[in-house]
Amino acid sequence: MARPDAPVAEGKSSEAEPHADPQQVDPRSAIERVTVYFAQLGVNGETALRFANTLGARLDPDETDPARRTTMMLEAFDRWSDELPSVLGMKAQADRVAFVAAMHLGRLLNQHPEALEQPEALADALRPLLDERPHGVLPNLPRQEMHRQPLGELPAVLQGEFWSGTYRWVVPVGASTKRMLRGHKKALLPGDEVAAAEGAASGVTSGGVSGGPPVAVEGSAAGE
Amino acid sequence: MLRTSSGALFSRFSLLLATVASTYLAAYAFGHVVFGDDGKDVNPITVLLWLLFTVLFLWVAQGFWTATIGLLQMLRRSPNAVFKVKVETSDWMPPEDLPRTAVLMPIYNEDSVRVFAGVEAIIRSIEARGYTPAFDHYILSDTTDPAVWLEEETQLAAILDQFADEGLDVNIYYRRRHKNKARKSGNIEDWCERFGSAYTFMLTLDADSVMDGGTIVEMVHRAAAQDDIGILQVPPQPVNRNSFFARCQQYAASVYGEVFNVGFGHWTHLDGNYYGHNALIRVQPFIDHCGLPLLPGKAPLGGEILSHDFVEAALIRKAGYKVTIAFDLDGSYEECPTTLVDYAIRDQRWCQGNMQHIRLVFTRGYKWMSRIHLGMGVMSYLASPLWLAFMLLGLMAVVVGGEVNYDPFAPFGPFLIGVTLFTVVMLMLLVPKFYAVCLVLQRPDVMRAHGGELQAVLGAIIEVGISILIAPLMMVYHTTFVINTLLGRSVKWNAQQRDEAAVGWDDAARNHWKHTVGGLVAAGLIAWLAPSLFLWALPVLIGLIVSIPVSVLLSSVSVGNWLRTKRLLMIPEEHDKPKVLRLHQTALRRTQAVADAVADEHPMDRVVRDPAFNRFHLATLASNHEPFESTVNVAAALEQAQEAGLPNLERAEQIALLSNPHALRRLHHTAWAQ
Repeated sequence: MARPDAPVAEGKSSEAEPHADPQQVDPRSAIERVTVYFAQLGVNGETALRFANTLGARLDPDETDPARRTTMMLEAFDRWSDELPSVLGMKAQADRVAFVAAMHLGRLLNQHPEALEQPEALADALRPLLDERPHGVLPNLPRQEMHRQPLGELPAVLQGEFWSGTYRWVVPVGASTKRMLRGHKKALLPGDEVAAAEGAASGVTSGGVSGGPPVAVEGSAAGE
Repeated sequence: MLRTSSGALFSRFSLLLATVASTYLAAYAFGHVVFGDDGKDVNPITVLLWLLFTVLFLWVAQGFWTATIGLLQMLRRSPNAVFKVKVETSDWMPPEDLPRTAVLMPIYNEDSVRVFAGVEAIIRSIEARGYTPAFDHYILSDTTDPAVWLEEETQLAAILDQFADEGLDVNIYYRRRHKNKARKSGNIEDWCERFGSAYTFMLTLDADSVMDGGTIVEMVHRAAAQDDIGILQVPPQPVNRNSFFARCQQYAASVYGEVFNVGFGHWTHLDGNYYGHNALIRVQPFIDHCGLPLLPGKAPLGGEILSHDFVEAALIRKAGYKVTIAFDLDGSYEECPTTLVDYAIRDQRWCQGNMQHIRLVFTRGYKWMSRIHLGMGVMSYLASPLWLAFMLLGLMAVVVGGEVNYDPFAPFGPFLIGVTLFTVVMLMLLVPKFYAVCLVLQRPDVMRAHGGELQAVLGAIIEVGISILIAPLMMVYHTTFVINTLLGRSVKWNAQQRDEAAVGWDDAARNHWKHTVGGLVAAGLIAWLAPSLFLWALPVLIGLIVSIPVSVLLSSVSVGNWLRTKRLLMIPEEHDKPKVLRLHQTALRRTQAVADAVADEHPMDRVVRDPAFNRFHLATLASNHEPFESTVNVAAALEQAQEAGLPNLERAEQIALLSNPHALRRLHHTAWAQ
């Protein structure tokens, strides 16, 4: 990953760190890197160096790796900013403090170079910013539930049950009608009058009037 | 109990009577054409043809009579007055007494330069009216592209900075959902559940919406004055586009939209409709009654309702609240697609959404007027396959009839009645446009705003010509969309293309070669099988055959601009740009400058390396309070990001890291330590 290549801040490092291959490793000391970090946050050079030195002074002197030291210094700064709402007695507004701090941190730190040692000093500067709009912290409001409305029913004629019911009714009627017509046809043939009459009667009884199952119609037809 | 006004009831009755009567007469006449005077040609094809004609004529007739009602209403009111621009119709109350209103801008992978320019223009326009404290502004992001997400945050930080520097007292909130459940309707629903309790009204916008502050304040006053208004819709006017096609749409909406909106608004009265944006909604009834039902079955016809607006209007209406169209208000703007292809893509989404409404048209419990709105939404897409089927059946009727007739004046049936019917249908389509042009010419200031007397007429002629030319293409597109939807092929809801990129010949050929080939084949078949129909079919065939050059021509911004220099297709917003659109233009320059200032660096590199932006992103994330769930192995993704860089990860991994404060801090520290 490429390193952030901001201009190196003015001021001298209080640490001596080993140099490595300039193609591979950032030769800057941790103090220089963190000074640039603060400069990118909008803190002016002198204050940025002061902050870097303050954070550096809190580290274990035995830790000499500049990359590791940089990480530790930035972690320490993050801890400081995370704890800011509690320190300032604004824990209830922690999100808002974090948001306002994120937007105005450079300016606040410039106004209060002692902020790292004495974070309480920021309280007076933060308070008006917290009350002031615009801000982007989403309000914490009582939640309501929006329930799905019932879909509502289709009219009977558009429901599947209607058609399956109708189908159940139509099948026997259709079958008996078919049988009746067949019977009528046979009746037209000489010598088959009796069979035709029986078929017609059985068709009407089983399918059309009594509403018997299709099996009865089939049986009756088979009987022919 | 809400009561429809006697005027609206009379209009509804008149509309119904006129539509049914004219359809009856046309169907009767068409029966003579297809069945013959003695009914000798009755067969399944001609019966189907007749049925299709009747349905389609009904559809055309309702549009015609709606416009006629609009015309009569406009003439009745004040023929010489500018009909619109009626803000502050009553005394406005002081801002502190105005009900709290949230202005909601739901976005989904949109161009953040344009989105935030719209937000800024609306805020400044409200500020100009002195009503800033009454409104809070929410940008509701459903963005899934992590780079766009970070661009949105960049613009948010910039606009907050800008207003803080100016001392402008306004709340601008940004909320991003990790999962865009139920798309736009889910986005609004989520807002209602989390923040709705603090507001009486919400003004819903689209990503390309701009609304005048005066219009917004007037809307709130109107809704506050009547407790039973559930939704107050101001029809949006498309603006800001320059391509030939977009300028045609803008002109059509500006000239013809008024007469249709007035007619529609009059007969719908308190049973109006909601178009999904540029509308004021009463929050609590919306929460209580407008949770969208789930449709049975699978997508595309089942599942989540996609086109939520019509259904929400139906639900709030069912709950006893009014849905009103404020057709007398202007200052409501949107942007339209600039090319035929973009237009078709948008229609594809809308088509699938509207086809889902078929089930709801017949569902018990909805008001009849809501069913009509839902049915009209379905019919606006279904009409295309019906027209196509009508033409194909007409061809079949001739072919099956076996009359190889080379006389174009006697394809089938009595010629005179056929020609008369054709003329009647064309007139019913064109006369409302004629009304609208007359109404423009009647008002000198409106006429000047449309380019002048001659230009207003020429503009309408150009628009009608283009409409006729692209109608067959749209018919084919819509038919494809309807068939795809019915076959169960879902549409991906991508972000809408909102910039003006002209279509090149390659793209046009890729998109329209099928239409051209189809048109040529159809022309050959008709010439061979039914030569008597060839001339009748020619307008449709030409539209398809020339679709490639037409698509290129219509997408051209230079042609659009050239027409503007001739004051053709001019709309009032181009003649004299309203203040809110001027504010939008200025805001666009600012938001573009913000984007340009960070353009050298990938947004994901920036969030990793830039301490200020990293902190801002984390603060925005913390304020959102939405738990993030993902199956991504964050530790592995973090390791990979440290080696290869965040921009080179998969999208899911990028989102997982950007949503995890600890991982992002680690990445940030590593970037500074290396």
